[in-house]
Formats: sequence, C-alpha cells, structure tokens
Amino acid sequence: MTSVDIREKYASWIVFALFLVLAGGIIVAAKVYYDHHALHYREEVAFSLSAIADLKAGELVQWRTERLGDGSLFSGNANFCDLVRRFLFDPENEEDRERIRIWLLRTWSAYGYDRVFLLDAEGNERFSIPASLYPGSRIVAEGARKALHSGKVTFQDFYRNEHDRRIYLTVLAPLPFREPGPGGASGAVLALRIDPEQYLYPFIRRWPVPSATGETLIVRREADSLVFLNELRFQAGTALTLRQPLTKTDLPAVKAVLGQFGVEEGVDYRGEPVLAATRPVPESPWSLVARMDLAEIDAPLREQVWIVSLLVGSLLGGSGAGVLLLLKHLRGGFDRERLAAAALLGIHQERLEMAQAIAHAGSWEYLPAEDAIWGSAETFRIWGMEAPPSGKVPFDEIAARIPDRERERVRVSLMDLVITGNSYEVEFPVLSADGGRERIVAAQGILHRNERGEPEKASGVVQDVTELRRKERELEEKNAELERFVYLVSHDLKSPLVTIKTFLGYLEQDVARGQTDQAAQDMTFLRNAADKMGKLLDELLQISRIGRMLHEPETVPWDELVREALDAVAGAIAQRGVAVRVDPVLLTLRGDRRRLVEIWQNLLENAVKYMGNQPVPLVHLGVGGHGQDVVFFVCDNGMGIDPRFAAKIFGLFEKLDGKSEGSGLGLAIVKRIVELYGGKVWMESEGTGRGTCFRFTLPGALQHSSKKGGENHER
Amino acid sequence: MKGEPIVILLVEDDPAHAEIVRRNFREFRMANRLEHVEDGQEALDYLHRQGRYTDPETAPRPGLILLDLRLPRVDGLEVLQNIKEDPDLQSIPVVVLTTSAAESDMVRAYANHANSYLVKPVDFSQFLELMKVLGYYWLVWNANPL
Repeated sequence: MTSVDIREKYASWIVFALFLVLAGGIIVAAKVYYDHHALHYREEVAFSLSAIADLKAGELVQWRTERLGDGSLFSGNANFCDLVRRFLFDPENEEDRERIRIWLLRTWSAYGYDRVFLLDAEGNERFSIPASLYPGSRIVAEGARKALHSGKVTFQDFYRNEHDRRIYLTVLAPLPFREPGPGGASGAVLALRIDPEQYLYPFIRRWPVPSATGETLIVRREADSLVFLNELRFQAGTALTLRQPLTKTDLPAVKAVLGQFGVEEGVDYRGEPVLAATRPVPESPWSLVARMDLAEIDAPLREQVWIVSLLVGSLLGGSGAGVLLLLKHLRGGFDRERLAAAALLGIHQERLEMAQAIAHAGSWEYLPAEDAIWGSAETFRIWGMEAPPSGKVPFDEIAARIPDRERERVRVSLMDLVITGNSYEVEFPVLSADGGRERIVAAQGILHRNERGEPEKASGVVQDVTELRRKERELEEKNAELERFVYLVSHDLKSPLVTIKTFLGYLEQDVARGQTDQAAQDMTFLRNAADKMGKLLDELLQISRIGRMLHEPETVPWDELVREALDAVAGAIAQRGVAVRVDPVLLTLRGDRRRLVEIWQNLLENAVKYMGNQPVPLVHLGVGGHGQDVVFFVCDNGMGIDPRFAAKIFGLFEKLDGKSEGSGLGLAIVKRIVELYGGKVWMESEGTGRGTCFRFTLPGALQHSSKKGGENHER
Repeated sequence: MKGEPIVILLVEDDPAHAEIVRRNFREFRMANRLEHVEDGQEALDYLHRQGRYTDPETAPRPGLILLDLRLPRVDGLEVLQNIKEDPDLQSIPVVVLTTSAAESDMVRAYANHANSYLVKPVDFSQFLELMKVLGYYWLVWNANPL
C-alpha cells in the first residue's frame, strides 16, 4: 500500500467521521427543537382549553344568574303575588286569570322558557303556559315546597320528568303572600321550566374553534357517582344516564367533581386519551370539563414530526452530498498525486532500465505461487528472449534455455533460496532463443518474507558475464603464461650460468696444473654457454615485442604474405632442397604485415628444420574452410611429431630435439601472433616419420578483410 | 656394498652439465659406470629397454638416477612419475638435479616420490662439494637391497 493510499484512507475516515458528527448534530438539534416545540404547543393547547373552560363557566354562571333574576322578578313583585293569591282563591275570575295568563305568556315568550306554570303551596299545578299534555314532575312539586319554605329563588337542577321522560331544569320562584291564601297557604311558586335542548345543551356543546374532538361537558356528583348532565358529542342519551364511579380518577371529570380542577391528561368516557381543563361552575353543583382528544392535539405535532423529519432528511442528504463532494475532491487530489507519482515512477523506471542496459545487469523476481519469473527489459535481453507484455514468464520457459547439464543445479539453488532463504548465487550458461551461442549468466538473489515471516518472493539481479568470464580466462591464461615465462627464463638463464661458473673453476684448475688441452676444451664449454645466453636474451626480447609492438594494420593478399615468408627462409629451403607448393588462394588479410609474415616464416623454418631424412622433402601451404571458419595450413612430409608431444611444442623454449639449433621459440611466437588475431593453432601428425601439419585460424585478420570487401577472395 | 660396479643413469640435456657430473664422478672414482641420456624419452627407453636400448648390456639397471627436470620431448617430472609407478623401477633412488629452485618444481617432484631434490649451485666449489657429498651419500652410505 503506498503512502498515498494510506493518506487517502485516512482522509476518507476523517471525512466520514465528520459526516457522522454532522448527522448526529442535526438529529440532536431536530430532537431538541421538536421537544421544545411540542412542549410549547401543549402549553398553548392547555391554555386555550383553560380559556374555553373559563369562558364557558363564566357564561354558565351568567346564564344561571339571569335565570334566577327572572325568578326574582316575580318573587319580589308584591302585586303579582297578590294577583296569584286572588287567583288561587277564585280561579274562575276571568280578569285575574287573564292578567296571570298575560304575565306568564309574556315571560314564556320573552325568555324562551319551555313552560311557565304556577304551583300552589301543595305543589299542585294551577296554571301553565303553554297548557301541557303531561303533568309536572313530582320532583318539581317537591322542590317548589322547599323553595316556598326557604323563600329563595332556586334552581331545580337537571331532572327527568317521569311523565314525558325528558330532561328539564326549572327555576322555582316562591311567591309569598302578605295575607294567607286559600287553606292558609303562605304563598305559591312560579316554575320556569327550561328545556336544555333549547339553549343550554347547544351552548355547552358549542366549541369556539373548528375541532374534530373538542367538547365541553358538565357533570355533577350524586353520592358515589359522577353523572354526566348533557348529551355528549360521541355518545347519545348520556344526560343523567351515564355515570362513572368516583374511583375512576383517571377521568378528569371525576377529579373535577372531587374538587381537583386544572388542566391535565387523562382518559374520557370513551377511554380515549384526552387533555382536559376542568372548572367549577360557582353557585351550582356543576363542574365543567373542556376536553380534546390527544390524537387531535398531537396531529399538528405529528405533522411537525414529518416536517422536522423531512428537514432532517434533507439536511442529512445535503451534508452527505457535501461529504461525497469533499471525498471526490480529495480523491481527485490523491489521484493527481498518484498520477504524478506514476509519472515520476515512469521516469525512474526509464532511468533504471537505461542503467541496467548500460551495466548489462537486469533485475528479476521469482514468484513461488505462480512459479513464474518477472524480469526487467535487460533481463530478457540477457536471456535472449522476447520480453512478454506482462514482464512475466513461467520459470520452465527460462529453464528451457539452460542446457540440460546445468538446469537442475539452477533450479535447486533457486528452491533452496525460496525454501530456506540460503543465499542464491549461481552462474550458468543460457542458450539464446535462436539456439545461438551460449551466454554465461550470473544471478544473485535474496528472499523476501511477508509480515508473518513466510517466504513470499525472491528477487535479485542477473548479469551477462560472458565477456567478463572470457576476459578472465584470457587473463588467467596470460598470467599462467607469464609465470611459465618467468620460470623458464630463470631456469634457462641459470643453466648456462652454472656452466660458466663451473667451467671457469675447471679452467683455473687447468691453468694451475698447466693442462692446456683441458683448458681449450673447457673454454669451448664456456663459449657455448655464453652464446646460449646471448641467443636466449635476443629471443626473449623478440617474444616480448610481439604483444606490445604492432605496426599499423595493412590489407595484404594472402599469397603476398606467403611469398615474403618464403623469401625469408629461401636459403634454408634451397640448402635442404625442399619443394614448396602454394595453393592458389584469393584471400585478403588485414593486420600487422610483419607479424603475419612471421607466422608462415616460423612454420616454414620449423618444417625445414625437422625434415629429417626425407629424400623428397616437400612443404605445402594453403587454406581450407569458408567464411569465418577459414583454416590456414602448413604441411610437410618430414620427421613428424609423436602425438604425445603435441601439446608441448607451442610452449616457450620447448624443443623436441635437444641437439637441434634454436631455442624452441619459433612455435611459441606463432602461437602468440595467432592468438593476437583471436585464432588458434594446432598440430596434426600421424606420428614419427609421417610428416606434420600445422593448422591455424586468424578470425581477427579476416574480420577486417570482409569489411574491406574481401569476401570474394574468401570463396 | 658389493663388488659389482654401481651404474648411474644421468638424464641431462645440457652437454656441459653432463660433463661436469661426469668429471666429478671420475675424480672421486665412485662410479664405475655412468650412463648418460639426453632427454626424457631416451631415459624411458633406457629404463624400459626400448628403442636402441633393447640389449641389457647397453642398458644395465641403474643403482641411482640423476634426473634433470627440464628436458626435451618428455619432461623430467613425467619420467619420475613413470619410474615411481613402475613396480620394477620404483625402488631405484631418483635424485632430482636441476637448476630450478622453484617451489612448484620441488613440490611436484616430491609428490612424485623423488628421493632427493638438489639444486645445482652456481658457485664452482659448492658444485664440486655437492657432487662429492652426493656421491658418498648415495653410493657409499646409502644402504641398498640391490
């Protein structure tokens, strides 16, 4: 995971947390607002309920006062009382009767009473407007007697008339007589009967504002019961019929008749939850209840809940969108950063690849899970393979490039690395895809483990060490040759020195003893040894020059080189009577002319020198092979060389015949020059007396000739 | 020490050095017979009675071999190896006598069971002294089952 990935994740979390906090805040604020609003709203509703209850209670009091006032109008009217007394004495008196009728009719019609009638002290009905089908209630008669007795205008509260089964209220106004009436009666009673259906019930029922459930009702206590006095909104025939025990205190009406007034929640006669305001109606047995269903009260609150929820939803949605926008913006920033990082990576990648190409070193990774190798461009170049687009190839494809003899070793090393983490450092040959030359490849690797310490992959570098190894080998050969050279020089120079010193000693003895013959012989040994040393030093100088001193390269036809060599050894050839055969070859060489001539010169010298007893000595020079495989040869039919000694002859100062002339340097010189031109020299002989063939290649000299258009000559 | 003369085989390609050895042995009268061969191949021919040495008279079995290392054709070390691998020849003491003081030569000589390794001194009197000691040691004091 890159640092950008981590930062993006981190930022995303922060933004998400921000969103959560925001959402929490919105919800809490909405809740607080709603609770506050609900409380306030309930308070408002309670307040209006109270107001309605107060209003109604006040009006009821007013109404009652007016009704009692109506009664008092008659009670305090002495003339009317006297008129009634006279009428009771003589009901047949038309004048009095008519006067009473007018009074009562006027009262009945003006004040909206249901019925106005006169009762005598016994409670008997004596006159009624209008004339009724049904007689008055016994309750009224009873009440009338009490009223007459108390002398006060009183209300006969709601009662049911036992004759017509209707509910009435009646104002009872006592009409005291100044003089005893018939039978000694002290007065009569005027009853003003009120039908509550006419005005009172509608008044009570009327709600000042439109409401589905708002209702006022009046109740009174009767012993241990609560009695509903009016017709209820949601239940018919309740007046004086519906009762509730006083123990049901969850009814606000019950509480009211028990003297607990105020505003509170409870249940109503239907069992519905309600909010109710209760008030006493002063100077009456009534309690007034203004109630409304909580369902209706809460309806606006529920609506409010919807509105608040909607608001919260849209706020959440809005902040969510904002957060998303912020995230997108952040992602955009991170993506740009990633793009920049990728671009930078590309540059680094390019640099790395360039560096690898220059160093001829590639990088690779081995993925054990896939048994595949990922390689850089240079890696595939080193393997001599086309790099696949993915940069990955199965390991077997790589292994197929390794020659059979090495494949298992490489595989085992790699497995050793993957399994045990042992260092991986192998060198192996690789065949190119076209089956061309082997390349030597050195690979090194280390193991990577995951956080649990399990091997995950191996990675390392691979290097083309073909050139390096070739040069190393060359250097080793050179070193070995140099060592041999030093060794030989020390030995071969020391040998004549020993001779010189020893024979000098003998010479001294000879002189001392006067042995002149012996002295002459000793001096010959001395001279030979000194000559040998001189010659040796010359040759050393000569061979040391070969590698160091090269003249400007020239392009020379092969036959010209051969002719020069033949000229140089013409004397020896003629002396030994050697026949020379030169094949006609059209070939051009390019190199240091003198050194090239020396090759053939030395070989010719060698051939003539070791001709042995051959009666028909013959030397044959020519060229075999084609193109880069051109092989030159110098063959003779001389004494030949035992194949056992074939390897020795090119060594420094090697001679096969101790008595022969020369130091044995000739073939060593040939070898050095041939090697300078990247070639090889070898000897073929079927054995002693069967002649010798020296063959050699000069690819370095041919390469130049082919560039100079010498190909025609090669064929 | 028996009455019979001990044959010494000298393997030496340098005629001057051979002459020195010959003179010394003659001077100290130690070797009745000094056989000289000039290269490794000739030495092997002598010892195995091949080539021109098929006649036992011309190639009597030596009681001591003085061997130079740098020889034409077959190298001294090869000769040494050949001798020491041959059950008939391996008991013959082989003294390497060479100008080379190179450690590599000594190591290889002893690895091939050389009985002794002597470096030819450049000093005349030392050379004479060495030859004297060599003669006494190997031809007089050294006990030999032959």
